[in-house]
Amino acid sequence: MTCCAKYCDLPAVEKNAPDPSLDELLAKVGLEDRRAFDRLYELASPQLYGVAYAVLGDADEAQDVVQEAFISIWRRAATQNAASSRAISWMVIIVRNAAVDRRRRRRNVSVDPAHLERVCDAPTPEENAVKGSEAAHLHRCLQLLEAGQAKLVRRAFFLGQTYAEIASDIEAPLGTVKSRMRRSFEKLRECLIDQVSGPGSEKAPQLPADRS
Amino acid sequence: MDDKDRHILAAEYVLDLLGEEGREDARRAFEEDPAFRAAVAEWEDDLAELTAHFARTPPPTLKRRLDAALFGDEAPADRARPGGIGLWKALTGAFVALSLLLFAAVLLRPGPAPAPTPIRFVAPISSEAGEGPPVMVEIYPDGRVRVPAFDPAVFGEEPGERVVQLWAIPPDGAPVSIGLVSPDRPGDTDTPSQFENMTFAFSLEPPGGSPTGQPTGPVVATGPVIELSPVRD
Repeated sequence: MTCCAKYCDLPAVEKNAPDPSLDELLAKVGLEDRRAFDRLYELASPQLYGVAYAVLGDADEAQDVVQEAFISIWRRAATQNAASSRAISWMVIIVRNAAVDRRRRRRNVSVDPAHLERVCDAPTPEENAVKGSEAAHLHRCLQLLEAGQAKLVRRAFFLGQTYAEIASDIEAPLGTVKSRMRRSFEKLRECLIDQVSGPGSEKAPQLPADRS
Repeated sequence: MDDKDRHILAAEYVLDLLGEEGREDARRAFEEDPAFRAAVAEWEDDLAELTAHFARTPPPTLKRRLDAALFGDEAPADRARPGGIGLWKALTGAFVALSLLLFAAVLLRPGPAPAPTPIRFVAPISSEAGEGPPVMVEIYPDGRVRVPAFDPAVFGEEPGERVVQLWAIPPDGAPVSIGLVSPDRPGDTDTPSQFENMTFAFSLEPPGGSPTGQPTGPVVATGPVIELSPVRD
């Protein structure tokens, strides 16, 4: 089963069209606007439910997490300000953190290898192509990392493991895991900055030639 | 902290990689350093992109549960009943008459205006016939059970003279009657009970309710009782 068949029965929230309106909607939700909340739910819930499901691999738990997250979004929307991350990112991180917390509360937190593979593998080119360029930037930059390092970044995101837990799981020394992942973050940051503020275009999706 | 270290720590903070001790340092940086907060926001934007291809449609019941939990139900945008309206209208007259009788029989009283009281549990009771939206029953911390108005057409079986009775079924015990339900108006009951792990069910019973204290008619709809978790802020 491909990743898309498993996780993507609906197109994701389009990154390049409604993002400004998600930010506007969130601002209205901060003023307790129920209509804006309904619309925000309509637009964002597929992606947020997908995130919860990817972390938990269980529909019932994912629904509980999304419900908790939207309650939190309703209550905290007024505190979200324009200087911080975009509305969709803020919501994705809320859901991811809630899902990871729930995962950690499970009695058995051992990793199902099949689930791990599904969520931590890179998206296929088709999956990547239909999304906006911002996701494409990130996935391209991930491709520039040393073998296996991109998977560790995805693993940290979707499993919510600490350095120590990752080291124990992959049976590598903690110091090695830390230094490799830190190098990955450094390279990712450079690559993402290059792509966003590269010469010529604000969002030029080009690979820096010297980073292969 | 130079710019490079700041960005690395920000990634670690967003992903919560550091465990208890490191988390505190990062949290302090977040509170004290605007440049660190900006770095965190950048990583949130970038790492959120990891999820762009994971979209998945949530079931429609999720929004109803959410509205029930947040707004004490009666969410206008969510109450439109797709389909079944004609039958609903046809049955309304009969149910209005029946409900007056039920009302005198008095296991339920009219619900108050929806209040923003926190709901402790919800039970989405779905028709066994698989039709229409589930009836979203709410249970408050004081044990009050609130049943919204609903369309009995979703049961796929015309109640006729029979009345709708609500039951709580423990995992390993006999059903306990919660009360008679009047489909065309919300009602509350104060049955004190444990609700964890219960299943709720509607059965169709003779006028006045089950004569035996156990369901005697067909069970037309069932649903799990779901505890709403407290929110962490």
